[in-house]
Amino acid sequence: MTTAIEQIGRSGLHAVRASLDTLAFAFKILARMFDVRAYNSAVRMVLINQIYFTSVQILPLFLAVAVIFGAIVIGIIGQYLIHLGLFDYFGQLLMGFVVTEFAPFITVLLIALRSGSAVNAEIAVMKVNKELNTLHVFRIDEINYLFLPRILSGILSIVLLSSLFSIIVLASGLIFSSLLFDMSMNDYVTALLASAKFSDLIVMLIKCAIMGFFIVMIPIRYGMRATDELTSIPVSVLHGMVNVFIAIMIIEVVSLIVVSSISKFI
Amino acid sequence: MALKTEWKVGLFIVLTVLLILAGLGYMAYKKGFFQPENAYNLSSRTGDGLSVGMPLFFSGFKIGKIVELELSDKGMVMIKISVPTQHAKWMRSDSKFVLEKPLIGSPKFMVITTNLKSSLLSANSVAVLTEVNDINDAIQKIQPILEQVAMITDNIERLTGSLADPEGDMSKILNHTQKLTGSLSSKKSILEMAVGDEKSVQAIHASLRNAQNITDQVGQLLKKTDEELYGKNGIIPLVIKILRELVTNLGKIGKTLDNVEKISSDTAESTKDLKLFRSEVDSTVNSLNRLINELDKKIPFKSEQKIKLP
Repeated sequence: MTTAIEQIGRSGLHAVRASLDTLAFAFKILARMFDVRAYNSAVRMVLINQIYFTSVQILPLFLAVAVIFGAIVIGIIGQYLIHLGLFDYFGQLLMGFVVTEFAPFITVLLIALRSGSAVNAEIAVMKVNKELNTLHVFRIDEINYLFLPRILSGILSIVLLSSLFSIIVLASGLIFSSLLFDMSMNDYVTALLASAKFSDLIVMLIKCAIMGFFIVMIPIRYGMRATDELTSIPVSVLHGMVNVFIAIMIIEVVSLIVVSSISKFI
Repeated sequence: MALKTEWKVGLFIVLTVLLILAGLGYMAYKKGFFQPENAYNLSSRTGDGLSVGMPLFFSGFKIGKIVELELSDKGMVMIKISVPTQHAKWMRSDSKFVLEKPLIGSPKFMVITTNLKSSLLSANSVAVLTEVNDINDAIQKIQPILEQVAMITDNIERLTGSLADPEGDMSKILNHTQKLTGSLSSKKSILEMAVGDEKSVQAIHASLRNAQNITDQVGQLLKKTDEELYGKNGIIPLVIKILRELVTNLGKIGKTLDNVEKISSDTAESTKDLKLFRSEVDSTVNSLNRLINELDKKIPFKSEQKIKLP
């Protein structure tokens, strides 16, 4: 009994310590992010490459997913609203659900699955191959050269791709609502504008930036935890990705609380 | 390759940012963020229900919002509202500003303009905000009902008190009812209870029996009368037979009368001919008379006047 309680306590302490370490690492990265000296030409080059790998390469797939998901979601939402006699809430649901919740979530999932796992594996491999030690030897700051461009790329990619996803979904919604529900362009735009709030959009963008930060920072953190053994690479990726999903859920819940609090005050 | 990557990334960032800005700009334009606004001042007795950013409605449409709330030196709440220029036409000098506090839901701030020909509301003037409180109205409407309910409960209380009081009206009624039911249980019938005397009851029974005999006799009499009237050899069938024969005979008489009528019309025609003949004979006789007179005048020697008629 005592051993079991000790085990729970040990696990709890370990979880708290790990969370605090991750937060400390996050603050360290944040502090470096606002340091202008960190952005030399090499870092800028890595940043451009990371944005290219994270955002530009995924673009065709991402656009296709946005159009398909947009059509499906708008079709389902519209049908249900007509069925329930609540089609007046169509614009509100598009802005409140599709733009502020669905678009960031799908974007984050896609980027986390594609780039988060890649970054995690990349850092873990570098750790196993002792490339990080080599950087230390050459006095190259790993945070500036490796981590900062990837995290900045994650933030920028999520913010831009989420916004692009929302715009594409809303544009495809215009076509599909016209085809499926015989809704004119003017009615559609009026419904969207009536429901659109700048505060919601700003919260959405901030949420995207925070998610972008964590879905790259957490895999980097877990990649750094890899040992000298090759078998530690998949373990670090596994832990990293699980924690990324936990972080996404926590950020979603916190953002919902923040949005509801803001809407109470406004 | 590096240049190509940079170009692609740059294009992606620029296009996406432009799209986002265009979307936000369009939204801001449509929501009237770039429109010039007019400011107006209102005063209110209380700031309860008012808040900065609260929308101003006209005919159900949002046309402005509260931008500032402050307390004046006289203790009045000064409200500054902002209305886009395109909606300024609804703000007239005789417009009424109302804060409606519904029974359920949040307060609604609105302007009511009935006369669009009156002058525009000046930015320097201070209009008065009227408060329409559904809760207070509801309480005022409920107040008389509550008073009536209170009266009813008082009456109920008096009734229950009267019921509980052994000397009360209800107790007296119950006592009388008890006596009545006791008396009813000691009598043989309700009739005896009503008349109070057994001999009288027997007399009524005898009368009823006599009445029954009389009705029996009347029944027999009616049966006999019915037989004589409506029986096989009764009066009514005989009358019906006579009437039928009469109808047949009347039919025959009708035909005869028709013939007579025809004959009489023929006779009338003949009479017309006779009259003509008569007039002709009359004229002939007159002519002959005139001829004879002429002959008498011309032949005086003839002793015997003879005229040969045609």
